Amino acid sequence: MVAVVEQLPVDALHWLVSLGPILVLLVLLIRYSWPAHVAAVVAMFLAAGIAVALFQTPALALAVAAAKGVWDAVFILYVVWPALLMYLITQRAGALYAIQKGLQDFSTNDLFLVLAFGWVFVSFLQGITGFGAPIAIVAPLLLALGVRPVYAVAIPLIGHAWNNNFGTLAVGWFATDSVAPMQAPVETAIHTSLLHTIPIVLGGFAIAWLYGRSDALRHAWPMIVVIAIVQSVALLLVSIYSPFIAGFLAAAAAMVALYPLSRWDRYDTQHQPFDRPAMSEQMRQDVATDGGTPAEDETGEPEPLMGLFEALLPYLVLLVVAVVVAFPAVDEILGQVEVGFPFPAVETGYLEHDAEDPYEPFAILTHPGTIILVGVVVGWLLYRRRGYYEEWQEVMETSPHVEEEPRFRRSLLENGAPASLAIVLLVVMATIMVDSGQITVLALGIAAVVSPTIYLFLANAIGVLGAFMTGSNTASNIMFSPLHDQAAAELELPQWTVLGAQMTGGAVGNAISPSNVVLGTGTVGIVGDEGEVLRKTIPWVLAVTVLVGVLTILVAGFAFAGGA
Amino acid sequence: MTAEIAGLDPLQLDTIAFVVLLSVLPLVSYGAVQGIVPLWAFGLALLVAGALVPLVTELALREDEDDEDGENEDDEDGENEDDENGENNEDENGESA
Repeated sequence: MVAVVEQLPVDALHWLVSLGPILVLLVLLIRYSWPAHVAAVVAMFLAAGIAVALFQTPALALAVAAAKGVWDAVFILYVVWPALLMYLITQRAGALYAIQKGLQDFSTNDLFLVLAFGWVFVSFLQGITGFGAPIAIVAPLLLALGVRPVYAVAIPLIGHAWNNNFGTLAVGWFATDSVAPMQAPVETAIHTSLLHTIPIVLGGFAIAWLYGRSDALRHAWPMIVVIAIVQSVALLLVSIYSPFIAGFLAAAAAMVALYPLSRWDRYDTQHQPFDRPAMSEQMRQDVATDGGTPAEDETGEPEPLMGLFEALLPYLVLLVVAVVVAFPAVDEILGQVEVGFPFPAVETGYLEHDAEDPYEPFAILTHPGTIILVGVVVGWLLYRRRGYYEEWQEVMETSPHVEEEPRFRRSLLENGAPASLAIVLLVVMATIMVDSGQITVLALGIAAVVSPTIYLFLANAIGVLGAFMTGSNTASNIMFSPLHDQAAAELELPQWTVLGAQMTGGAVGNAISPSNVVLGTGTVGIVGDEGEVLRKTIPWVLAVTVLVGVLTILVAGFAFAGGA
Repeated sequence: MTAEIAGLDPLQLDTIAFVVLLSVLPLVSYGAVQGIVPLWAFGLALLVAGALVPLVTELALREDEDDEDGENEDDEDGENEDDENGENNEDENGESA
C-alpha cells in the first residue's frame, strides 16, 4: 500500500525533470545508438538522482526501491533464460532446421512461401524465442527464396511484430503485470488480444502488398483471412485461459493451418505471373508438390535429422504441462510453494510505502519459467539420447548451407547477459521512478492536459515509442506501464484497455526498432541500408498505430457501456 | 575492435555485472528488514558498482575503436611505425590500451 504524506508537486518543473530519465534513454538509444543495457545505466542513475534531489527520497527508500526492482526483474528473467535455453537446445539438435525444411516442402508457390516464412513461421519463432532470433533466422531464409535483401528484412519485421507481447512465452505480458499489477487479468487479456487483431490482419496484407502489390493481394487474400482468423481467435481464446502460452499456441495453430492451405490448388503450385517488386529472381513454374517430399535435394542442403513431430516435441511437452498446471486444482496445490523477499516500510518526502513480507511473491512451481524448463529437460534428454547434438554439430562443421554456431554456453551468455542487464536496470529505473513519485507526477501532468479519449488514442503510440527506443516490447512495457496505470486511474479509464493498448503498441514498435532493423540487415549483408528497410516498415507501423488507437477508443467505449 | 578490456571479455564483464546486480536483492532486503545499515548500504553500493560495469565497458570499447580508427587512418598514410612492427595498440602485457 502507498499513502500520500504530502501533496506531490505536479508543476511544469517537476513534470519536465521527471521526464528526464525517459528522454535521456531515448537520446542515448536513438541519437547515439547505445545498447539498451548501457543507456539504461545512465537513465537509472538520473532517475535515482532526481528521486533524491527533487522527490526527497532517502538512501534507504532508494535502496529498497532498487531491490524491489531487481526482484521484479527476476520474475521476468525466469522466463527469459529458460526460453533462451529452449531455443538453443532445439536449434543445436537441428530441430529448428527440421521445422524450416518441413515448411519448405509444403508448396512451390512463392507468395505462399513468403507468407509462410515471413508471417507465420517468424511469428511462431517469436512465440518461443525472441531476442531478435526470429528476424536473424527468417531474413536469410527469405533471401534464399529469392526475396530482395531489403524486403527480406522488412517482411519478417512486419510479420513477427504482433507476437512480441504474448510471444517469448508472454514475457512482455508478465513484465507489464510485474510493474503495473493488472486489476482484471481476464479483461486485460481480452482487450489486448482484440487490439492485436489489427497488426495480425495488416501484417498479412502488408507482406502480400510488398510482394506483388494488388495482384498479390488478390491471390493471397483467402490465405491471409484464414491465417489471421486462426491467429486472432486462438490468441483471444487462449489468452483468457493462459496468457503464458497464448502467443505460442496462436502461432502454432497458424503453422498447422498452413498444411491444408498448401494442399489447395491455389497455393500448391506457382501463382500466375505478375510484377513482384520484392523478388529478385525469375519466377519458377514448378509442378504441384501434392504433399510429396522431394527425393533428392538438388541444392545440396542437408536433410533434416528428424521429422516435424520430433522437432516440435519439446514445445508440445511444454504445452501439455502448461495446460495441466492451469487446472485450478493443480494450480492450487503447486501454487502453495511461493518465494519472495520481505521489505520494510519506507517513506519519501511525498509517499509512504508499507512493509511487505514477502513483496510480490511468485509461485515457483507454476511460474512459466519452470514449465519451460520441463520442456527443455525433456527435449534435451530426447535429442541427446538420439545423438542429434553430435550429428548436427557435424552437419554445422561440414555443410556450407548451415552456419556454424558458437559454443552453447557462449551463445547462451551472448543472448542472455546483455538482455538481462537491460531488463534489471530498466526495471530498477522504473521502480525508483514509481516509488519516488516521478511516474505519478508524469501521469497527473498528462491527465491534466489530455482528455480521456485522446489518451486512449495515444496509449498505443507510447508503447510504439518505447519499443522503437529499446528494441524490446518487454522494456517498453516496463518503462511505460506504470505511467499508463496511474494515468488510467487519474482519467478514470479502464486500466485493462490502456495496458492492452500499451502492450499492442510495444509489439508493433519492434518493426521499426533500429536494433531489430540492424540485426536483419546484418544477417543478409546490407548493413547501411537500414533507411530503405524503415521506409517499408514505418508506413505499416503508422497505419497500425492509428487503427489500434481508434480500436482502443471503441473497445474502451464497449467497456464503459457495461461490456468486458 | 579490441575484444578485451584488462584481459576480460566484455561478455564476462556483463555476466559479472549481472550477478553483482542480483546480489543487491538479498543484501538490501535482509539489511533493511533487520535494520543493519552497513548491509543495505553495501547492497546499494553494489547496485552502483554493478551498473557502472556495462557503462565503463562500453566507454572503454568506444575509446579502443576510436584509437584503432585513428591508427588505421595513420596506416593509410604509412605513418604508424608500431603497426609496421606488428605491435598494434597493445601494451607490453598484451592488454588493450
